[in-house]
Amino acid sequence: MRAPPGGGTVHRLPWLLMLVVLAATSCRRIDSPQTESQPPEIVQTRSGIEMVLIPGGRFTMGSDDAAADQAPAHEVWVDAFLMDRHEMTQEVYGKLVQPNGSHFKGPQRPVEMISWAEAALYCNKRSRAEGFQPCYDEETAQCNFEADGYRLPTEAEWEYACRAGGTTRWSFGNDPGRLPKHAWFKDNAEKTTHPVKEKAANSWGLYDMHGNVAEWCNDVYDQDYYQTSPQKNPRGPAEGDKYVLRGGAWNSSQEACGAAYRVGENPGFQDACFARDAIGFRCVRSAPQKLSP
Amino acid sequence: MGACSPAAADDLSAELKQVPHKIVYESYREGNWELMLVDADGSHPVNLTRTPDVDELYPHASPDGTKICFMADEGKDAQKVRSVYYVNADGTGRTLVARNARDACWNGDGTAIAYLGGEFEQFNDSIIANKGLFTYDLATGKHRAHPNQQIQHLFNLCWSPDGRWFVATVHAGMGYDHALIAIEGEGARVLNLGIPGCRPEFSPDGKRIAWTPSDWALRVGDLDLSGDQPKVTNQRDVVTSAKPTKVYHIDLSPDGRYVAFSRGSFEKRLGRAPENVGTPAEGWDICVADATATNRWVAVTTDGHSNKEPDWVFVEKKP
Repeated sequence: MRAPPGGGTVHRLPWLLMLVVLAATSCRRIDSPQTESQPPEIVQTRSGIEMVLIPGGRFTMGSDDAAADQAPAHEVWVDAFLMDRHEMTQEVYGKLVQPNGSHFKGPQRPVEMISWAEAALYCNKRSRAEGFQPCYDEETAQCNFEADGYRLPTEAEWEYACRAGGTTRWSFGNDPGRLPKHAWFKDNAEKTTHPVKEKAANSWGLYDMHGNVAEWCNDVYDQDYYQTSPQKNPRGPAEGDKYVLRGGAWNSSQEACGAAYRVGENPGFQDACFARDAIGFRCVRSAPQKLSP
Repeated sequence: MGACSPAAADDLSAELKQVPHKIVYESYREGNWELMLVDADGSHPVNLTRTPDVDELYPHASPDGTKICFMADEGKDAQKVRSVYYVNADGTGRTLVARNARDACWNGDGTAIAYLGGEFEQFNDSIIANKGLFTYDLATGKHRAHPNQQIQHLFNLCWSPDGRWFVATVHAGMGYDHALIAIEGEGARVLNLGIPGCRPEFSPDGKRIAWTPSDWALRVGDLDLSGDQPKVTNQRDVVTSAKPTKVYHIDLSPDGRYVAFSRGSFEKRLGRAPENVGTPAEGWDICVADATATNRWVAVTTDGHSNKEPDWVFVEKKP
C-alpha cells in the first residue's frame, strides 16, 4: 500500500511504474481472467483512506434480463479512477463534518441519512483537506471532471467497479445463495447497517458494493438513459429531478443489490431534514492520466 | 403587503390591521442578522437589536409578550459561540441566559426559559448540533438539567403551556432517524407523535399543534397527550405551496386565529437549506395566514431580507 497518484508523498519512480501498469491494463479487456488474478492496486490517501486504483477498461453495462431501465445491455469504456475501498464510515466522515447525522451509530458503520448534496459537499471538503481541486461548483452543483479532487462515481464507474471484470448478476456470480457472504441486505441485516468490510470484497478488493447502504452516484437518473448514452465515459443526463443510487442496502431485496440495478432518488438539495437511513456514498477521483481505448 | 398573495389577501390585510399582536422575526441585513418587530400586518417595523458584530437569531416571545428570548452568534473563528439571551420586548435589558446554547423557548407563565446545550465546544451551525435540555429560572438565575440524559439532536424545542411536555423535532438522535416527539417535562418518557415533517409548535392553549408536514405545507391539528400514545386529530393544511417555494417556521397567534410563517424558494446548490436558522435566504419573507381557512394568506414583509423564524408577540388589546 502506498500514497495515491497526485498525493504529496508519491515518489516519481513508483508513479511511473504504476502508469506503465495502468497503460498495460487499459489495453486489454478488463473482464479477462488475468485481471481477477491480478487485482488492482490498493493505495492510501493522505488522510489514511484506502482506495482501489481501477484501471480504465471496457465492460458490458446494464442488463437485458431485468427491469426496463437496465436495458439495453451495452458496451461502455471507463477511464481509470480511484475508488474508496469501502463505503464512507462515520469515523472518517466525522473528521470533516460534525455532528454525526447517521441513524445507526457506530464509527465503522457507513454514514447514512446523507443527501446527494451533502455527499458532494463532503467530496469538496475532502479535496480541500488533501490539497486537491474541488470538483463541485457549490452554487450550481455541477461536477468538473477535469478537477483532480474527489467526487461521486459516475453510474458507469460504479457498475464497472462493482462488476470487477465479471458479467454476472452480482459480482461473485449468479447464485443468490452466495449473496449473504458478500452483502448485508434485507434477509440478513436485521434492519440495520453494519460495520464496513465485514462481508467478502469483490475481486477488485471493494467491500459492500452489494448492500449495507445504497450509494449515491454523480449521475442524474433517467430510466431511458441507456437508449442514448455515449459509449465512452457516460456521465448521465444533463438535467433531472432524481439522482442515481446503486448497490442496494440493508433493507433491499436480492434483486436490488444487483450490479446493474438502478434507482432514482430525490437528491435532497437544500433539504434540512433529509432522512433516508439506507443511503450513503463512497468517493472516487479521476486517475491523473486519462487512458484511451 | 405582498403583491404575490392570493386574491383573498386584501381582505386579510385589512383584518390584520385590527389585530393588536406583533410579530418578531430574524432578518439578514448588510451581512448581519437582527431581530425585527412588526405589527401583525407588517407595518411599523422596528430593529430590536442593532448590533453589527453580533448575529441575533431565532426569537421567541414570552406568553405575556413582555420579553423575547433568542440566540446570538458572537465572536469570530475559534472564539465564535452561540448563546441564549433574552430582552424586553422593546429591545432593552439584554440578559445572558447561557453560553453555547440554542433553541430557547418559554414556559407557560414566562418565568423560565428552556434551551438546548451545544454538542461541541467549537462553534457548529448545524441545526442538530445540540445535546441536553436545560431550564433557566429568571427569578433565581439557576439552571437545571432535564432528567432525560439521552436528549440529543433536537430542533425547534417548544414547551407546553402547562409545563408537562416539550415537543421538538429529533433528527439522527435518541434512536430515531427523524421524528416529531413529545418529551415529558419532568420525566424521561419520550413519545413519537407519529406525524411526518418537522417543527411542532404548541398553540397558546396547549390543545393544538402546528407543524410543517413537508417543505410545501403548514398543518394544524388537535393534540392529546393524556393517554399512553399521543393523538393528533383533525389535521388540516392551512397553507400549501408548490416547488420551488417552501413554507416554513409556522407559529400560531396568541388567539389561535392566525399563523405566521416564512416563505421563499430553494435552489439546486450545495450547502445549508435556506430554512435553517442563520442561513441567508434571499427572497424569504414573513407571511400570515388565516388558521381557520386554507391558503388565505398575505405576505407581511416584502423586502426579502432572509426574513424567517416568525413568532407572535402578545399585545393587550386597547379598550
